[in-house]
Order: sequence, then structure tokens, then C-alpha cells
Amino acid sequence: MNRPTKKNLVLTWLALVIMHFTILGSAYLDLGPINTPFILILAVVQMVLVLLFFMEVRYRPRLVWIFAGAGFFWLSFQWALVMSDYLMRQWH
Amino acid sequence: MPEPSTIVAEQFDTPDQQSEAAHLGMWTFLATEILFFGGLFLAYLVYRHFYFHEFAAASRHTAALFGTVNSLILLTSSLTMALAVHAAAQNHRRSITRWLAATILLGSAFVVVKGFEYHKDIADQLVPGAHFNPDLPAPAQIFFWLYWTMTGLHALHVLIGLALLSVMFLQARRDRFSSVYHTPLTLAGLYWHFVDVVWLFLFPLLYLIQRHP
Repeated sequence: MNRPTKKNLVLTWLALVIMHFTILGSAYLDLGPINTPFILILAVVQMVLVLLFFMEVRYRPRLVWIFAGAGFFWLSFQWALVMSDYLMRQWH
Repeated sequence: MPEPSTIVAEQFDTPDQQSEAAHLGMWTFLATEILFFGGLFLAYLVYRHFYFHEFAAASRHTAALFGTVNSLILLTSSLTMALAVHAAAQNHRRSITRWLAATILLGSAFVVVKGFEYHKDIADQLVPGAHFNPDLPAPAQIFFWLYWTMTGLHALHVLIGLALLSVMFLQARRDRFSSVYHTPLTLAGLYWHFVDVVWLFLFPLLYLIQRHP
């Protein structure tokens, strides 16, 4: 099996730390309605990096991709249905 | 080091097959953990929509400095964990124990910092109840109820992770792991990284709501 190299791992960590400080800095700037989405997008990118490199999903068989994605898939139903009120409100 | 033939349970044909089955099992468990923390984040999301301004006011009372230090500690501990697994794959046996020790130290540092932070939170009257900080609006108690629950359950996961890593450390010292067999180490690593992922969301959502002036 292929594995992440030491360099991959250190670069992943560096990217995570840079994004952490970007998130932190952006929270103290008034970016209007962009603040929260910007922070959340960066947090999701951080999560994907951890999954792909630290958790080695990138180097695993597709079956592991499906198992790793399943939890998030079910979670998306939970969240989307609970939020349906907010999604539908503006349609009146 | 045990020979490959002695570490394959009888229901498996090869070490690879056994390792893959173990990985799928771990990912199934992690899916339940995603749903567990997902439910907590969902409760957070709903109440944040109901009481956005109160949540923002409450969030500004959290200790962002402690939070950011702990983020850096946890991110770095994930790196050292990944390096421990990397060392095992490379058959660098002494490096395994070194990186595991670093991970355990960093994880313990996280718990210690969290302890100081909780102490400050209690002194600042941020525990929901009769003695809640009178400067904050009442719904801020919901925020802090979620804060204590979510960070508390996360800290519990860190403690469980530390226990797992300690067992891995002892096994590594007994030379149990090699490039041929290190599945328990990899699975403990998956758990540790998962705990890190949860924190990646806890930190901005709890500490950083409307921090700007």
C-alpha cells in the first residue's frame, strides 16, 4: 500500500496551522456575512486534509472511502431535514 | 516480533485481509461517532439560529487564547501520531515509541490547558445555573450548557485516546509493532485524528462567534 511520506505529513500539518491562524485572524475582522461561511469552509478543508493524509484515506481502497463517507452522508440528512424550516421560510 | 503467521486470526487468509477488515470496523465505529457529535453540533446550530446575538455575546466570554493554544497542541499531536504510524510502516521501531510519547505528552498538555481554562470559566461564572454571570443575557446559558457538554465530551474522548495511546506505547516498547504488523497502532491513530477533527469545528464555533468589534 502507498502511504503518505514524512514530507506529506509535515506539509499537511503546516497547512493546518496556517489555516488555523487564518481562521483566528478572520474572526477578528468584520467581513460582514462572510465571516462564518469563510471560517466553516476553512474548517472543512482542514478536516479533509486530516482525513486524506493523517487518516490515510487517500491511500486506502475505495471501500474505505465509502465507509468513511457514510457517517457524513447520514449526518447531511439529519442536518438538511432539521434545517428545512429555515430553507423553506423565504419561499412565502 | 511475532511472525505474520501467528498474527493472522483463523478467519482471515492474509495479514492484509485482516488489516482491511479491522480498518472497516474502525471506520464503522467512527461513523457512529460522527453521528454522535453531529447531533451535538445540530443542537448548537438550531439554538444559534434562535439566539444568535446571545450566542455571540456568550462566545466573547470564552477564553480564545486557551482555545487557540489547545488547537495548536492538538494539531501537532495529530502530526506526531501520524509520524508514529509512519515510523512503524518504515520499521523504525525506536521512532514509534518516541513519536507516541510525544503524542501522549501533547494530549496530556491539552487536558492540562483545558483544566486551567475550565477553572477560569468557573471563576468567570460561566456555569449555567443560579450563579450564572449576571452580565450575560439568559439564553447565553444555553450556549454555555452546549459549551460544557461539547467540550466535556470532547475532553472525555481525549482521555480515552490517551489511555489507548498509553497501551500502544507499552506494546511498542515490547516490540509488538513492525512494518508487517501495526494495525492496532493505525486504528488508535484513526481515533486520535478523529478527536482532532471534532476540535477543528468546536474551536471556531464556540470561541469565534462575532469576535470583531
